[in-house]
Amino acid sequence: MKSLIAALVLSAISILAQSGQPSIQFTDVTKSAGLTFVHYTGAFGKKYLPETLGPGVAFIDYDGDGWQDLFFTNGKDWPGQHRRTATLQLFRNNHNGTFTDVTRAAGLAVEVYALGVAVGDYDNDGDDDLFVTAVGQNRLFRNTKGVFADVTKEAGLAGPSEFSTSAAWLDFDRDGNLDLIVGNYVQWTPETDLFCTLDGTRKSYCTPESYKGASVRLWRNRRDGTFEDVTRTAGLLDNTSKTLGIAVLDANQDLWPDILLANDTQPNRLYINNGKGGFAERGILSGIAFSEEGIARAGMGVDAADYDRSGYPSVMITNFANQMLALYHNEGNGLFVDEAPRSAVGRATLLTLGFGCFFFDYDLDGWLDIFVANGHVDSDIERIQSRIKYAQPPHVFRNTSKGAFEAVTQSLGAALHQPRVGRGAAYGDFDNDGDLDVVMTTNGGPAVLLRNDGVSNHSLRIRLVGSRTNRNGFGAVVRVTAGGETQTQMLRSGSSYLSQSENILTFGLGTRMQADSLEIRWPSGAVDRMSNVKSGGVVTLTER
Amino acid sequence: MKFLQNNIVSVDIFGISPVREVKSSTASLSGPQLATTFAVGEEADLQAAAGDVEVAPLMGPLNRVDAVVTPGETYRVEVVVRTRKVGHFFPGGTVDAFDVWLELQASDDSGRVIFWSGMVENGGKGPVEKSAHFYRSLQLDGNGNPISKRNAWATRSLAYVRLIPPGAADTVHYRMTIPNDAVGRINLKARLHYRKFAWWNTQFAFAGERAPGTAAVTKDYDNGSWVFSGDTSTVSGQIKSIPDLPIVTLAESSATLKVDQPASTKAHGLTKVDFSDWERWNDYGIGLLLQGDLKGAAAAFTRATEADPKNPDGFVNIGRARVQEGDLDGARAALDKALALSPNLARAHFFYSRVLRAEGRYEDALAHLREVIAQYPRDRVVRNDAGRILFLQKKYAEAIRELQNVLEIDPEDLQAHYNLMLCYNGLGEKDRAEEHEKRYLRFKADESAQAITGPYRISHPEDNNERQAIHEHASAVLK
Repeated sequence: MKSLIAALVLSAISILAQSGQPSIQFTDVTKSAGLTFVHYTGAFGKKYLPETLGPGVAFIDYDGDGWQDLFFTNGKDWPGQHRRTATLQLFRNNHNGTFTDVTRAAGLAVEVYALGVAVGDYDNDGDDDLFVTAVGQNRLFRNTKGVFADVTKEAGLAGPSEFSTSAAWLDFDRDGNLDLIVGNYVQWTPETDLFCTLDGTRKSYCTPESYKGASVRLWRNRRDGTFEDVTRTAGLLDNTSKTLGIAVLDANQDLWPDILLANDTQPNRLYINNGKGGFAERGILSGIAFSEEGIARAGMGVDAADYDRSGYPSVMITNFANQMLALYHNEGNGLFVDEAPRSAVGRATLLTLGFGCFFFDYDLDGWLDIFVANGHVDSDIERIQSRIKYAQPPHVFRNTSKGAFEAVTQSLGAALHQPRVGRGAAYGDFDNDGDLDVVMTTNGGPAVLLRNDGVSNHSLRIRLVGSRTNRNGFGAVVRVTAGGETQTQMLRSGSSYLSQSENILTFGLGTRMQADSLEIRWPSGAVDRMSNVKSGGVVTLTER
Repeated sequence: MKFLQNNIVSVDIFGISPVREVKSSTASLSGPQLATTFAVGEEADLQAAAGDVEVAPLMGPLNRVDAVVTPGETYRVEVVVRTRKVGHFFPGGTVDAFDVWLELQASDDSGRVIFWSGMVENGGKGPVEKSAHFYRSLQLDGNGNPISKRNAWATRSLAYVRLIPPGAADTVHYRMTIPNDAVGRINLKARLHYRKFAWWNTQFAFAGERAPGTAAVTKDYDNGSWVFSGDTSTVSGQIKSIPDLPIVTLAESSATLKVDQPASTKAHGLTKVDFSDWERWNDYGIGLLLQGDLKGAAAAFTRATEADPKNPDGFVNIGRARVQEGDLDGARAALDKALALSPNLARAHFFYSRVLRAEGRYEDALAHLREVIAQYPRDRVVRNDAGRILFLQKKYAEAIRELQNVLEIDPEDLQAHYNLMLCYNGLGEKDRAEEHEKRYLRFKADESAQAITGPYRISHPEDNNERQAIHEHASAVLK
């Protein structure tokens, strides 16, 4: 009898901890899925700066069969070292919960010290292409019916050797073709690698303040398969930036895409699009550039979304350990106020170092939740701090719909309790069951595929196809109304850290089976409306 | 001299830890690592063996416990420097030009010197050897040359700054190996020295001349070199030569270590917690806290609370270390103990408010801050915290009033200008917001200027070592 009562009490507690759908669990299906990717850092004892940063991951439907495939960036040996052959990796979704490594067949068996990835159909031919950032030469891989070709040179993207990190596709001038924004970190070579130490004895991975920064680069699509560097003329040239994360958002809701840069030991930047081919930097005045003491801090992962239905996208930026995740609420007047302390997000993220992060509705109740991949940059941190560990479990925060969040990591299954050295993270519905799964990478370790199970709510999943707008539909704003409640999301590339989530919008409908009305505002200016859109599968909506 | 030697600072050879090679039980996820490429002094050529190096528990406080060392073993010696009768940072003023440094010497009973850091070259007349532990501000000009001629107008970046706040401490680490043939005991002596101007500056000031053919000085940097061949017969003052500035020893400390053979040596830590050593433990902890060794600091403060469970500051300091780490629950537990012992202790209330603010309990945090403000109305750190909380509550007008208090104390306070900018932005008063933005940008550090330190750090490994918050000093004596 006692044990029955105990069991009832325990299950009651876990039900209460997870108001709504107590059955939701994230299951680690990496092994059964055959996802064999293991990150290679090239480390051989010198603790070179780039080694601790990667890798990134993207969900991409590279063969257009309606199932999300997975792409991973990877490192390689440093000059003079010949320990292993390591390349980028592409895994094709077999539609049955498993994946197959198709890297070679797809033309992606390329050795490059890669970090980030951005997925976008830059030539509007219906196949999603890949832009891969690297220490050295970034690469553009054009996808033609499932086979990739390195077109970096022809596209005019071959240039100076840089240390590039996150990147995003966006149509900044709204001419119907995707342009490319690329974040750069610091000017670094093995020869200028600096010594620093956390504990006074061993070398550790250094913070970047002693290295010169490097400007973000904006490449405008010339619509003929080539790009031109318009960084300076667009007002984005800033050689002091040390960018790790990039988010595209419409901060002031004027329908022109703005750019947020998460910079490390330099102020974060918020570039507001002026609608005339240029940008103005408003990060300092807006309150997102610095810590509350007015001092620049680390900034790795970033995402933007209207998580409280205020009409404006708010911003989250992951920070170092001993610091909170920043949850900058957009006040709608050009000011952002950090709501992290007031929500469970602040307290829980003090002892973790966050990298990849994103807003996503994991329980499909219509309110955007948060996922954060955590992991420190150097194992020596455990020698001088008691609670901060090198490997750390991720965070999941459930949106309580009152402008706040609650930490629910503990009640979503054992896989989420596992400490890892997390880096990239992305969401995607890889098993096509209507809810959002998560893939995470670890530094120097395996990827992790977490399948979302037990969701009973319904979703409306939308694939956009632009006609005058860029084919992906990036920049389009979709408003979904169900039962008198309206949600707004903008489809975009980038966000998180070195990674990209699937190019599909997911709206949680709760227990409802359809959206009463739906509106798409395309960057071309066109507005499409429809009503009674049923849940189930992925709805493809083409710009009329 | 009397003033300088009047116990304004003190030195304490606090303890030693054996440094042991241990088998790594937790595999490093980033692959095999060689130990440090630490290149200071004679260790520059040492290829450290692979494997983790653990710092074993402490033997201390010295002169309270009977510390025993083993021939052939290596130890970390911990020396604590504490400011006592100084109302400002130590040193203060011309911190670019002083020679203030800590010297540690160890010899065995035969008089043989087995360790020496911080000696003065050329029989005490030359510069301090460059791998010593200095208290100074090492600034760089626009091209990464050190500011060594009182040429502050050319300062563009900071290689490092190490000054001890008033009533605080610095914990210095030395790495010392006991020779296999040590005779008798090991006698340690630490001394804090002061010389009004660094040797190079004195040579330059009296006899400095531009080396022929050297680049011209610019207002942003000096890439040229200097020779000390100037004619000193016309210098002002009575000494018509480059003077030999006196070195004053401000404080010193001694300790003795027994030497014993491996078989009979306890390889474990050995500490004694005595009521009268509260301050020694606390000072040691403060030095570790200020370096960011939060683990070591919390352990030292815990010892202090064991030495005197009725002294609330030990618990406050545990709380501080935990607040800094982000361990809110742990901080609260420690601060609760402090407040139970001393309900009006402003320090405890201050850190308590930090815990509450991080939890979003803004009203409660403000209540604790008001306790502090009642006792210290002109503490601008506290006023800034209060202003920031009001901003987070979006009570912009109230926040502005609070932050104005800070500007009345210091019109250049960076944090106040930053938050005032945001508050006025929140109120929609763009002009006012931009006024404060201007001042904020004017007074803030230029983060990107730190890039000047990169090449300097590579070419000056000793200064790079000094820059590390936690670092060690090896013996500079060449064998």
